Amino acid sequence: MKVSVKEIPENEEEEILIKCHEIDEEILALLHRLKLSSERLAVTVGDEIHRIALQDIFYFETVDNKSFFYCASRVYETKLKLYEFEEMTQGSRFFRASKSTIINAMKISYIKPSLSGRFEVCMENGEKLTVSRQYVSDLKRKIGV
Amino acid sequence: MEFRDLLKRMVNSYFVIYGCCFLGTWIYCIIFDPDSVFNLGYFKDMAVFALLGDLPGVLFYSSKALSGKQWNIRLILHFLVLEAVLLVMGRYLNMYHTVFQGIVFAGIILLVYVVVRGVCFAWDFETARNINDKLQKMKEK
Repeated sequence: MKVSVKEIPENEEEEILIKCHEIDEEILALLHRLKLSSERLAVTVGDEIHRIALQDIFYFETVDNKSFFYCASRVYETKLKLYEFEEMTQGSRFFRASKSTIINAMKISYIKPSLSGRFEVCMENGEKLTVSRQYVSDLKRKIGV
Repeated sequence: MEFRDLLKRMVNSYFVIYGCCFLGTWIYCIIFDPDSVFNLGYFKDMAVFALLGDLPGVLFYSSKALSGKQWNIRLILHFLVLEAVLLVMGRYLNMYHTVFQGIVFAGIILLVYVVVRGVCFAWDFETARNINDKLQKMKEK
C-alpha cells in the first residue's frame, strides 16, 4: 500500500484520507487502530482529571472489584469494568491475559514460558505479569503468529 | 486452569502418554526381555493404561489461578499418584515380577514424566520465541 504524507499550513485541519478499492477487514482494522491511537480515557486522581492515551496504558487490571490502569510509572483507578475495556479495545493490540488482566502487547518487552505451565510477560517498565495458558492463543491471534 | 481447558489438555496428553507407553515398553523390553512378543490385546491394555495415567491430571484443576508454589505442590502430588496408579497397573499386567524390576519400572515412569514435561516446556519455549519475534517486528515498523 502506498503511503503519502503531505504537510499543510497550521490554519488547515489535519486529516487522514484512506483511498481503497473496497472497505475490507484490513481497512476496518486500520481505521479502528487509528481511532484508538487518538482515543483518550479520563481518569480521576484526587481532585484532578487526567486524560490518558490508550497507547500509553501498559495493562488494565481488576483487583477486589476495583479497576486500574497501569502506565509506565503510574497507576490510575477507573470506573471502567474489565469487559467494558475489553470491548473498547477490540481490534487493537490489547489482549486478555487472565480473568482479571488485559495487557497491551505493544508494551511487552518479552514473553517466556514458566515451569508452572503458564507464560510470564516482562513489560517495558520491568513489571512482570502472568499470562494464563488459555489466553496465549488470543495473543497469538492478535499479533498474527 | 478452567475445566474446559484442562479437559482439552488431558485429551492431548492422553495421546502423548499412549505414545510414551510404547516407548517405555520398548526400552523396558530391550533391557529385560528382548524376545518378547505382544498380542493385539496389548494395544487395548495400553489404551486403558494411558487413560488411567491421564486421569490424575484432574489434580491440576482449580477454579482460581494457581500460584507457582501451589502448582509445584500439585505437580509433586500428581507424580506420586501417577506412580502409584501405574505401578499397580503394571503389576496387574505382569509388566514386572521382582522388586528390582519394579524399581526400574518406576524409574521409567519418572523418565517418561520428565520427557513429557520437557516436551511441553520446549513447545511453550518455541511459542514464546515466535511471539517475541513477531512483537519485535511490529515494534520496528
